Amino acid sequence: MKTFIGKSFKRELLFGLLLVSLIPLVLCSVFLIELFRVKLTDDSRKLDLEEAQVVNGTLLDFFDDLDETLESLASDALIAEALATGRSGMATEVYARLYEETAQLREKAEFEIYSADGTCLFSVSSSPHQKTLPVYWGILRAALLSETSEMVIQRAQNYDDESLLLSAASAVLDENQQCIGYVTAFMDEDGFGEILNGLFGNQDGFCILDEFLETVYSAGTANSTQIGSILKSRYLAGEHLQEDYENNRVYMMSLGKTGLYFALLRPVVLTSQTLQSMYSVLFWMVLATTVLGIFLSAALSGQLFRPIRALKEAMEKVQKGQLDTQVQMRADRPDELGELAICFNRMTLELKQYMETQVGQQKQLDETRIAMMQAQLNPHFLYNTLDTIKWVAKENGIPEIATLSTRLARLLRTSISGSQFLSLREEMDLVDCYAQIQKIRFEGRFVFEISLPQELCEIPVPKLIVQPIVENAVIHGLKDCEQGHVCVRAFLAPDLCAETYSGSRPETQPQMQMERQCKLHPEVQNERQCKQQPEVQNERRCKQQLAAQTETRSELQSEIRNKVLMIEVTDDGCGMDPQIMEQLKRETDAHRSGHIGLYNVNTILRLYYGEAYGLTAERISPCGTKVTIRMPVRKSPNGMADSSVI
Amino acid sequence: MKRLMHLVLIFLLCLSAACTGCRGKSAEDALLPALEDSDRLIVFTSHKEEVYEPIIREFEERTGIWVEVTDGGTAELLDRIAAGEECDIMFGGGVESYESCKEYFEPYRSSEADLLSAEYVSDGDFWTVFTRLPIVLIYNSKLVDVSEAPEGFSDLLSGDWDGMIAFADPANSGSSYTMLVTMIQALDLGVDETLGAFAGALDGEMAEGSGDVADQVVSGKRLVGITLEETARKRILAGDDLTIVYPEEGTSAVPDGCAIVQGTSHLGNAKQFVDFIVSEDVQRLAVETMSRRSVRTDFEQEEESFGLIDFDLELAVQWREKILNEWAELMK
Repeated sequence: MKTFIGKSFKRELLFGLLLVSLIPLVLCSVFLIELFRVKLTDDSRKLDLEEAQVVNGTLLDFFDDLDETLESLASDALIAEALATGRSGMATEVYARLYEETAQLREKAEFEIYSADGTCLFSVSSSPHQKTLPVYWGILRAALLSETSEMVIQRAQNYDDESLLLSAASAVLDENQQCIGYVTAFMDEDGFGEILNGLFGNQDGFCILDEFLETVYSAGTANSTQIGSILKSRYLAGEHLQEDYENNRVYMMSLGKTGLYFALLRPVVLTSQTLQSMYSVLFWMVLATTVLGIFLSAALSGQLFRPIRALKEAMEKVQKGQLDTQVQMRADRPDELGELAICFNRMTLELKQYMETQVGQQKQLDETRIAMMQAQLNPHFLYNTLDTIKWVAKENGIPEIATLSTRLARLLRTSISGSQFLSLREEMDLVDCYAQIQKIRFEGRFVFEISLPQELCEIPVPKLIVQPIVENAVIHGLKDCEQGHVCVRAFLAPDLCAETYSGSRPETQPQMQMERQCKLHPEVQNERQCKQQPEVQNERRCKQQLAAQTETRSELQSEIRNKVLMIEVTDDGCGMDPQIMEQLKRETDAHRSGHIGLYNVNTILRLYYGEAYGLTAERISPCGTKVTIRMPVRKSPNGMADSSVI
Repeated sequence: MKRLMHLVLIFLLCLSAACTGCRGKSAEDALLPALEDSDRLIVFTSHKEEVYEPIIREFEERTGIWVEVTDGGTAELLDRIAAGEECDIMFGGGVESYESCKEYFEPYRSSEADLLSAEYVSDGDFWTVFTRLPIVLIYNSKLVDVSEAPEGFSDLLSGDWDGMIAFADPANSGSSYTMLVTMIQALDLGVDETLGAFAGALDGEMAEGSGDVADQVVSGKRLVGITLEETARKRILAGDDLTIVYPEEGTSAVPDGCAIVQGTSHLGNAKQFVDFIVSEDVQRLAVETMSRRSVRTDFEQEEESFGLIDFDLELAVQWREKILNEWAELMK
């Protein structure tokens, strides 16, 4: 559920909107409806109970009157005498008494007097309902068994005259408490109608039940719902009697000592249909709100999501490499999304420009490399030729040419070899070769010396950094000297430079970056380096070289690690032009008119090791120049390799 | 989010609880004490309401026992009892129906049994008789002259009354079957002959139920009919122009019965009920207001002016299926 909603912004929005709109709506409505219902039900219940009390009072009053009348008739001496003697001559007096006593109730009940054997002797009705009543059965038996003149009440059971509903009787007793007759009252529907007239409306129902919950009288909705039999079956089933029935509230009350009950039916004020319709209104409101929520969330999320989707699509395009992608946004969109789109467009534009620059540079680099490759055409042919020259010279007894060609071949081989770095010893050998050649060329006009301590032999240095300086010393420094002296000396010095620079520009930073680079992809980078060396054709050699370098590095004693390698080239010639020295210091290559070798070396060193290292040149007294190479020992040639390629 | 949902749910629960709480507190009925099981009795009756109602009413009045009444046809009610429906008393219906279902009844010998007519007594006291119901012929006293009126069953088969006899379908009415068997036994012609002759006399038409027979005769649709004395007397009391003829061959007076259903949970109440219906008061009421004949021997009642055949109840039970099938064949 949560993931389903969370997967789409639109769904989240819809869910939120629905939550915010539906919960208050539903809560409020349900609360109000229920409150309304409870209040209304309570009020109507109170009203109904009041009405029931009124009916109860009326009925009780009537039965009290009836009881009183029957008792007074039963205890009437005149009637007793008439019954005891059976004198028919007393009929007028008896009737007079009967009419007098029953004047109040004659509208409601019919009074009769029966003899002890159940024959009707006097009746106030013009046509008595029955001429005899069994004394062994029903109401007369009950009156007889009561042994007092108290009234007994029973549901009337006479299938000959179904209009009779209720019978009441009192036994007339003589002095010996023997029953000599009965006074009875019979009630029909009209009688009840008279009593209850105007007590309830036509929406109501009313029903009188006997002690076994058989219906005695029912009117209004009680009649149509047959509530009497419903109540009886409820009682027999052990259910609550006063449950609502068919949208009618049922109130039941006992009618005191008569043993009768009455049930009042009042329509339920808030029927389930009304409630249902209220809830159905709520349902439609909820539905409408939901639909509204759906539309609103669609619209809102569309407004929000369309630009985001456009951005997302644009980003995907950029990811695929289409850098000219631009997000089209409506111009009148000043919000954050508009800004985002503008930023994105700017970003892709810049990215594109950058990439174009990069591609251009790469192209240039490739062209340079191709030129270099062309320049290195077929070195084997050159070596072989030089070898041939050497052998021809030896055969012809010209040892100088043999030496020259041998040295030249070595020089050439080393200078165009794939490796960017050499050990210091190899570099010095190279310089020695060069000096040998120059010695032959200048016919021994200068002395060349190399001082290389054993422990520095394996320090890696960029290829051909000493040779240009020596060349400079021989060609420019000893230009006009008859007997020159060039000395190359390598030694270690504490790295003062690094400390001096650490304040303003910590040298460790680029180092660390470089080393990290190496650690990240040392193999890849090395292999790439190897492959990019055009003349290195077999990888085996490349790997051997790398292994050698690694060995060399490990052999470096830890004490020389953090020191600076100094290589001094001193000559006792005419001394260097101060202008050139100045230019070397200023590190500008604006006027590189001569001494290109010097500048190159300086540039190479600075590129490899940073601005703190490089060349320094000074005049020495009485005459001559001292050019010093400063470079750190600790640099790993592997680490440098990548930068050297680019 | 989850917590919010929980809060909302809890709030809703509280709300609904509050609402239902307001609603539930109605004054409990202290009006009537709950009905004890020992105060109940379930009665299945095939009597008409005017017969069972006063009796049950008085029984309730005198004993304080609440009687639940289910009324219906005898056969239907007996089927329901056989199907195991809860019932304590079967009341009404000819005793031959009881005899055929006696395995469902609890034997009980009423306290008044010695005073009851020995004519029809259940072997093993599976049922108790209630009232005797003689079978009579009726004719419309306006349409049929006394001199022409039939005097017995044989007159009906003579051919004079063909197509003018009202008779209920014995497949529907138990009393009608009893009439058919009574006729067979009274005429002594043999089963097949009697059935054949009577079927011919009926002209292929029968009344739906026993109540329709008197209606047809009163309305003049038929001139004569075979029915129970009780029915005929009631119609006469109600003012209908009917005359009763007690068949000269003699007739039967098979009583209707009452039985306690086996496995009843209200055995005491059921016994009280059986005793009550054969009590003097009820018998007297039956004679005085229901035009029935009492089964009590100690009872003064109208002299019986008719002959009774020796009705073989067991045979009636045994023959039942065979006769009904044959009758159905004949009436097709």
